[in-house]
Amino acid sequence: MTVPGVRPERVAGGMAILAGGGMILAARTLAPLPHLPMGPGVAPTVIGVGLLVTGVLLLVRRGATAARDGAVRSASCPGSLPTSRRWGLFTLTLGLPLFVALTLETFGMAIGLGLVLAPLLAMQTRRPVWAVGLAVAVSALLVGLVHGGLGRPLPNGPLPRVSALLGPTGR
Amino acid sequence: MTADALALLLTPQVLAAMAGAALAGLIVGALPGLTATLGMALLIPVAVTLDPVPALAAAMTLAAVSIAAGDLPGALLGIPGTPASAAYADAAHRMARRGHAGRALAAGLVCAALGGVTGAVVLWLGAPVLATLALHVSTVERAWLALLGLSAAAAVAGPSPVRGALALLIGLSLALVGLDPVSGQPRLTFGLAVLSGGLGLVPVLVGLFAVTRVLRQALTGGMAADAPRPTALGPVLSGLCPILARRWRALATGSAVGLVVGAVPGAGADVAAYLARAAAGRRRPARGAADVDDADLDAIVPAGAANNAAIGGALVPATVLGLPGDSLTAIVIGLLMLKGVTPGPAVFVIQPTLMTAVVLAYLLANLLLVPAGLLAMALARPLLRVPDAILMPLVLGLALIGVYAVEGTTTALVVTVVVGLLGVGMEAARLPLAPAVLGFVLGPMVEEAALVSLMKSGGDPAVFVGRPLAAVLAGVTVAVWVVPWIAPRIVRRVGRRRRTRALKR
Repeated sequence: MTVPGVRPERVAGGMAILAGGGMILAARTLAPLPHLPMGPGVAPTVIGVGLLVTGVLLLVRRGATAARDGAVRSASCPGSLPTSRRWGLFTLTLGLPLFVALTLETFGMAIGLGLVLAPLLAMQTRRPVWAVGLAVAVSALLVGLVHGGLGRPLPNGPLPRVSALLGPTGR
Repeated sequence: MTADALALLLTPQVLAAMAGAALAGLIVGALPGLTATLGMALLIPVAVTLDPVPALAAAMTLAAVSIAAGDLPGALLGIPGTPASAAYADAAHRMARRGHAGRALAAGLVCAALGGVTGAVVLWLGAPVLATLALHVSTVERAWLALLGLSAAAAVAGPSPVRGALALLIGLSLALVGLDPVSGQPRLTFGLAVLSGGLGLVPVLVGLFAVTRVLRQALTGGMAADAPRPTALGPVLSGLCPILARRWRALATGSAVGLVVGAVPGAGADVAAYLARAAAGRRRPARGAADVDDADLDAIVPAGAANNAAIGGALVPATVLGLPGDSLTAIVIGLLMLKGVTPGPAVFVIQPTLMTAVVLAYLLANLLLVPAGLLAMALARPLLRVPDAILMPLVLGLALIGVYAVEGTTTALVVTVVVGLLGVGMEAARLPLAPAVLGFVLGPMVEEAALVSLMKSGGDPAVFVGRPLAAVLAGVTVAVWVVPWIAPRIVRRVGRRRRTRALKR
């Protein structure tokens, strides 16, 4: 996950300075209250200053070695996926839960979980039929445990009858 | 009275309720996303139908077991089951990757049991005295205690305190989202009403640890070269006695820190675990007996003990004063009142047998921890054989349904994924994740306690060092930052002087 020639602490320092500056600016938009000695902008200002200071410290720090700090690398190893496929898997891992979150009321939790699990399992195991079967089984088990067993309400989607069998509190 | 309490406790109904609660606690604690508080909340509908002693015994058992079971996913997957486990999940996972998962888990388990037993004994013998002490803690000391917890988290997070501090500030920034705790003004919500309630602890915890882990596995292409998952538990109980005997001071420190911090209203097991890890420090390795696991065990032993001792500590103000130390003890108070027990200074006088039975139930629950934990480890063995390619999507599915079960909103799911992406960025920048969680937990507490203190003093900042206990806590907090920076320089200077003197001679 590191880019050759780019020191991660420099990138983190730069981001921290930007975030700190943004936080201080955002704090200035919060109106102080007349009857309180300190307003809601104090904490964001303090944190913003802290981000600025740590960002500067990371930028000016010299001699920090990757070996001492334990670098996290994504070196390829035998059996791992090729780079393009890895980024594809990363995009799916990130995108599918977001898609399901935004369409949860439409699809319901059982189908939504299946929509997340089946493509990810299929891509990694390269056995699509087996992956779909496992995704369906795991989705049913998890929804049964949380909805039926623990009684937590979950969106049913188009499966109200199945959910009604599992528990009385579904939506 | 103790005999009467034991007679109330050792009945088939109570023991069955405790066994059921232990099983539920294992499931809740071991599943990332489901917290001990959620488990306790889910227990209430069942507990209402039970008699007072089995209901309260089940609550005590569930609290103790679920907190300790949070170590299991922490060690095996690097995903802490509870916020308190985050304090030493990194150390346990490092040991697991070296093939010593069993030793890490057993050490954590036995220390949790010993810390919990210490907490129960102190609760039994010294509840009124501790409650009086806890009453003297004002918002000023609470603010310092929370700041001390934050400082300790940054200090023990890794080789670079600057990166620890930045991680902490990221957690504090996330905690700012939502309504200001004093004035109620929306902050950093970007005009989105759904963010008014804040980001939520469970989405942030699950996002930072579980989703980050899944995304990292996707980036490394299914076979992470840098972080191989453990394939076997390795030795479990063998060699544990000498390990704990060598660290008895750390164990005692962890238990003491857990008890004291737990007894302070507002500070929970997570603060106690971080503080204990920092307070116990790094034991000097014995000559010729250096073990690769030494440094990690030095972190696990005090923090594991503090974790469960804190519950005993938190039960002191909860039972004697009716003050909840955290959300877990708030539920215990609710359950006590549902069962006709009104917490207060006279509770041990009016209902001594029932209260002694409750304390003994907590003691017994901590003794049950070891067999329950060993059973959980045996059940977790098959998990080690599941390849990452299958396990990680399942962890993601579990994380999503767990977050929705707790929060009940799709916004929480989006927050979980976005925070997971933030965690990947933090790891790429070599920032530790654990301080961010503690920053998120303690940020609002620091802000609220500090603002309330200032309001009480009319805006005079001298209030923060005006009381002896506050001044001591302020000194310790400053020392946590300054000592690691100054001490090596002093040691180097003294060494240089000695060498110069020796050369002159």
